Amino acid sequence: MKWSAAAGGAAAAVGVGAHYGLLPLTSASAEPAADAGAGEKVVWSSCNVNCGSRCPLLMTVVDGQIVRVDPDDTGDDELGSQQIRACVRGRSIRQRIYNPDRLKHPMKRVGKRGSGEFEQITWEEAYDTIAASLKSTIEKYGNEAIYLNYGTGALGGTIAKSWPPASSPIARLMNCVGGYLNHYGTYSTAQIAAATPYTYGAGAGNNSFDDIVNSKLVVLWGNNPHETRMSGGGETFVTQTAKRLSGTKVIVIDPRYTDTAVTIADEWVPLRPGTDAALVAALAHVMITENLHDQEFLDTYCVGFDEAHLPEGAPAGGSYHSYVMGLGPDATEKTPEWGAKITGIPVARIVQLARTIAQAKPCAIVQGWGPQRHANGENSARAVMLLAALTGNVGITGGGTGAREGSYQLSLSAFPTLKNPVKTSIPVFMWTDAIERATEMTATADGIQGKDRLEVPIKFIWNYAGNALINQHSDANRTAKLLEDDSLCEMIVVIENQMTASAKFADILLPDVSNSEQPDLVPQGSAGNLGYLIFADQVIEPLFECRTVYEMCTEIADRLGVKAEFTEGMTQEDWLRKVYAESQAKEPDLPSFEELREKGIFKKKNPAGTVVGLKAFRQDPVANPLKTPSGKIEIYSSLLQDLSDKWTLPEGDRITPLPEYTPTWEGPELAGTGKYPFQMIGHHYKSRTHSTYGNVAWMQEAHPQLVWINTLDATSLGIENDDVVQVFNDRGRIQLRAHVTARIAPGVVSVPQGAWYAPDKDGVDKGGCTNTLTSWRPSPLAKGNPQHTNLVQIEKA
Amino acid sequence: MAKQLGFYFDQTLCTGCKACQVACKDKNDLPVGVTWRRVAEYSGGTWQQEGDTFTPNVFTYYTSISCNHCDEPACVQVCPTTAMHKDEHGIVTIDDGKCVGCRYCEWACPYGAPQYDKNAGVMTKCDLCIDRVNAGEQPACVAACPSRALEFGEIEELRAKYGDTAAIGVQNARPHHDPPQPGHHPPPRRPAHRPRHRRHRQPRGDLMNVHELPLVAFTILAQMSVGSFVILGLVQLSLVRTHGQEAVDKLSIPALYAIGPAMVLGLAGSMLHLGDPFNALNAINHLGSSWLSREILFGSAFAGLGATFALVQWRNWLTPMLRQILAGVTALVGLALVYCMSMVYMLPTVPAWNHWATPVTFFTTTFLLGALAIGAAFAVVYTLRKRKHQDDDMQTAALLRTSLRRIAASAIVLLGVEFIVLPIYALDLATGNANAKASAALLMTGGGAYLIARLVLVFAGAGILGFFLYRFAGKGAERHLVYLATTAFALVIASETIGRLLFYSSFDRIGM
Repeated sequence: MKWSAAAGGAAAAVGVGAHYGLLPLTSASAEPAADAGAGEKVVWSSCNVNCGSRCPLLMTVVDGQIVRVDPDDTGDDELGSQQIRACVRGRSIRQRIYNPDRLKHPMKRVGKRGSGEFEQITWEEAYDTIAASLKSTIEKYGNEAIYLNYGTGALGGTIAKSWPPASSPIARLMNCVGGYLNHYGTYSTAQIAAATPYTYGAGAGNNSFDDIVNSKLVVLWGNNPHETRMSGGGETFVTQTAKRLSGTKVIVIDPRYTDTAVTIADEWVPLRPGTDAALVAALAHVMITENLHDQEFLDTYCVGFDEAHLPEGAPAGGSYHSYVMGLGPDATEKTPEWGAKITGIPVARIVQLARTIAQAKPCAIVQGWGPQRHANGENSARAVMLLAALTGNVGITGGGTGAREGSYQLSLSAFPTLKNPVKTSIPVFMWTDAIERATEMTATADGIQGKDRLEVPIKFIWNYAGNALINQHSDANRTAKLLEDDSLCEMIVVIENQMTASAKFADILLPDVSNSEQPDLVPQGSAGNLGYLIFADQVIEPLFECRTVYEMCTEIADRLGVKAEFTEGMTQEDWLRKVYAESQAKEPDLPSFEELREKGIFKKKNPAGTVVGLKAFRQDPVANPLKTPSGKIEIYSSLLQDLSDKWTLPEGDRITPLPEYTPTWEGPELAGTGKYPFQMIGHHYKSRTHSTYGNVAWMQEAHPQLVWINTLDATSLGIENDDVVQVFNDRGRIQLRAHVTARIAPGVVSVPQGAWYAPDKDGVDKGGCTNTLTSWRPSPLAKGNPQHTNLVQIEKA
Repeated sequence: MAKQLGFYFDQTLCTGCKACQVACKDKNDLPVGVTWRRVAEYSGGTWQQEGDTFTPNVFTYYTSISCNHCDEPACVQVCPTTAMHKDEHGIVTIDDGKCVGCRYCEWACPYGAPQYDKNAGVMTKCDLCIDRVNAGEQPACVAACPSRALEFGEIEELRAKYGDTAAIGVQNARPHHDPPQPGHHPPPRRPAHRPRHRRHRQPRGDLMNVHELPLVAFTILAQMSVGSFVILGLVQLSLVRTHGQEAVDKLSIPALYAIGPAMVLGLAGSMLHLGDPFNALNAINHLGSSWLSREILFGSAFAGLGATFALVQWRNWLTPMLRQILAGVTALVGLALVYCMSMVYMLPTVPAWNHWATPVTFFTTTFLLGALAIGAAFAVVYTLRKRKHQDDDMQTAALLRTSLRRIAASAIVLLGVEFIVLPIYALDLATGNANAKASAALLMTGGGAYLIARLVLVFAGAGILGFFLYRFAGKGAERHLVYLATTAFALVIASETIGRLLFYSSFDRIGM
């Protein structure tokens, strides 16, 4: 009895005591308001990642620490003067800058390369080591053995700019000491960039998205601005606003019901990945059969559409018309039935789509970079452009060329990086081959440019602000194995903020500042008809022992005896002033340097209205010919026919003068049965920009890494939403949770690209990186990355 | 009086990017797991396959919700401490000087607005960025949205602009879609998928919902205490005349003293459920609308009255009549406690709990555990007395037998009630809405092993052993009775504990 009273009494006494403040309270309301106003300042900065956009970020600083991030506070909701609202990723940037994984000190590798075992060294030792290694590499192998790897983690700046590598401070440094092996192409656009000039000549673009207010129909072909151009001042804003203003009809062609489709599409046409050229051929068949194509346009502006307009040297039956109607060498008519079988789109839908596109005048066909990132990507890209020509939409308001959307850009000057004495350039995707088998690589077999063949392998890699050493390059396991052998590539210098998968493969690992820890001029991204320039000032002091890339290069230049040549006696800010002065000459509306610094941003609406690609050519093709051999749009490209004759292609690869549908290894024809029945693509994901932001807790919470699988496929495999599954093929195995959804075509799975490669002791990648499953085998023409061409299997873990 | 503020959300523009969610986290320094604005994907549809081709019929919408600052907030209504309240702008906000972190508001809100911060031990939620609003700025989420899908302002102005249905649906949205094309069908009425927002669900198959163990302990112990007290009262009322006060007192008084600690243990256990127990006295601030407040009041009153009665009994204070009245009041207060406890769970947001089976099973547990606890206590006390005193007390022995027979009979009847109620309840869940079905699936955790164990144990204890107890109490060897009574009690309390764990584990709240 006593216990109960005693226990009850004691509890009551404690409670009463606390309630009346006699005991300390654990109250959460003790914090003073953080945004008191006094003792805080707001500094303009930016997010500089490879997102196709570019957002200012206003950073509130209290006691030398960034406490909050706010968006652009200028502009409105109108096209051409829009407020540039940062996307979800930029809003989380504090967790990048202050991430617990942030690299703090220079380090050198101990243990096996790739093990991530490092010991801290001084900056002096780091610089000395790098300079010595450069000297000995140049002496032993020559400058062509030094490679600047693709890296786009810091491409937004003017000085602290990682892409293109030829524009980076690293390039300037190397150009002071004899140059380096360059590369051409990007992981974003290898195939389309290589292929487009064969159709439209160099320098051809498309209309800007603000122009779609003038379109009767917009076809977004593998183009997903709301997940690949997410800025609220970039193309997400432009497309939504243009749609709202005009009510233009939008059709999305994509294996996924993307977020772009969710908000602006009126129709969704799903298709099997890699079959775009087949769809175009089937659409062309309908248009030709029903006489819906623009014959007059084709006659005037194009070569190669029909037999009557073949270029010299082209064989009879070599026209696209013959290809489509079955009168060409393959004697196969590209009927809607033929197309349906390949693409998975029903016959009636193909017919209807052809009529809809052909009859919409004008129609803006705008492809993204998904279709081209395949083993047959060059032909897919050219095929979609052909459709724009077939329907006569090239070079007019409301129409388009079928390429990726264009945008208005201010004319600005760049940080000068001097001239590279080395002319040799390899395809962006082939550097692993250039380590492993360089001397076998030739211009006609491997796309080497500037030389007939490589003479030395890559011995030294600069990896600045990039995760393409391991995470973003294909076949991660195979790449890891290659890099582990330090007798092949002997030195890898990584300049990075975070301990990424690539950083783990460094021999010397240098901690970079974030772009908020240094001043820089930050040019715009793609934003319709808005041009802008941001002054991203230094917000906080460099954290830990981090230093700017400009300082790193200066110190190394010093040890190489080229400091004066590299710096020209200028600091980073001196260079900014110099480059800005040159920009002011090009763009007279720019304010003074001080004014821009204070204001943070300069904005200008496109004075010409909207961008219209190839407008002059359309207005007068004789006076303004394209930079093609014929001066016209080359549906049949004799240059490609030449390459096809001259180049040595592996079994199964084809370079064709027409944008034919070419089935490939691990293509849809091989899916459905067998060991690896699913086609796997790797879509761009809201959680990250490629792999940047991949270690940010708020982003992992908001958008966890999930493999998309169709509801029907999941049911047949016994997989439920959120189940832990493994996706695998001969190249590797990843583990992650499943997103069972009706928003992806049957037979297709998608592993969002950019997740951080993290193999466990059994080699299972627990990070869920798509590149554990992709292939080194390059595309035929660009020798580019075919990262959407994969066959896999998926099962419950 | 300032005007009610609120949000407008244009679902046709939302791409599900969650810039709003992260902007809010950045502004308020929220940790992972505390999300004041949540974005759910709502999608579904079907595919038709014909040969090599496929046709989709798919829909997707995103919904972004922080707090709707409701006119009649469910969270405010259920909050026991009045920490949750509407301020002069109509913003629903938390006074964390009062909040005890009981998380009742979290159960009651269909939008998931109240968010528990485990580091602070209190609830947190969208405060409409009142500091920014006062400075003439927009809330962080509204200012962040890249698609301009969010607006904020005086709710009357928003209603004038966009319509006055405070619903979540396509309401006067800015029209920009063409009429549906062939191949683009309007969304089916019955969605194939529920809104998916990754709330912190317990992992599948995890019966041990550790967060709610304090509540399991509290409800089981409190109900058992009330039941025991009532049974003791019934024994007093019905068996004193036939067996004598002395015999009754010999067995009941030790049992009475055991109830107190059980009750206090239960109440103390319930405090472990709170994030901020030092504010616990606030929990009776809201008797006017919160069943939780009422439960705490009656729980404390029952404990207090019970302790008083035990004291009075021990010291022989007051007259027997007054003591009887005190006991009666205590019993009634105890029954009121059980009623309030069950009403706490009658939340429209939780189909698994919002069912008449809840009060019925709470009372069944009360009497079943109470009866068997008293049965075990009587048997143990009797056996210990016999060993110690070795007196052959015929009266007490007869009392033991009579009371055990009646207890056994009650147990069998109550078992019958459970076996009728539980299947009906399970069927109702299995045929209910998506959340009810999810709860039904949770009940079948581990292939239903736990549910089966719960049923088997109570059948063995109350049914089989109850039957033998009834027989042996009537006409069997006395020495078996203590084993039967204690084992029956042990089996049933194990069963009821598993049953209560299942109750909490089957939680699935509607909405976001």
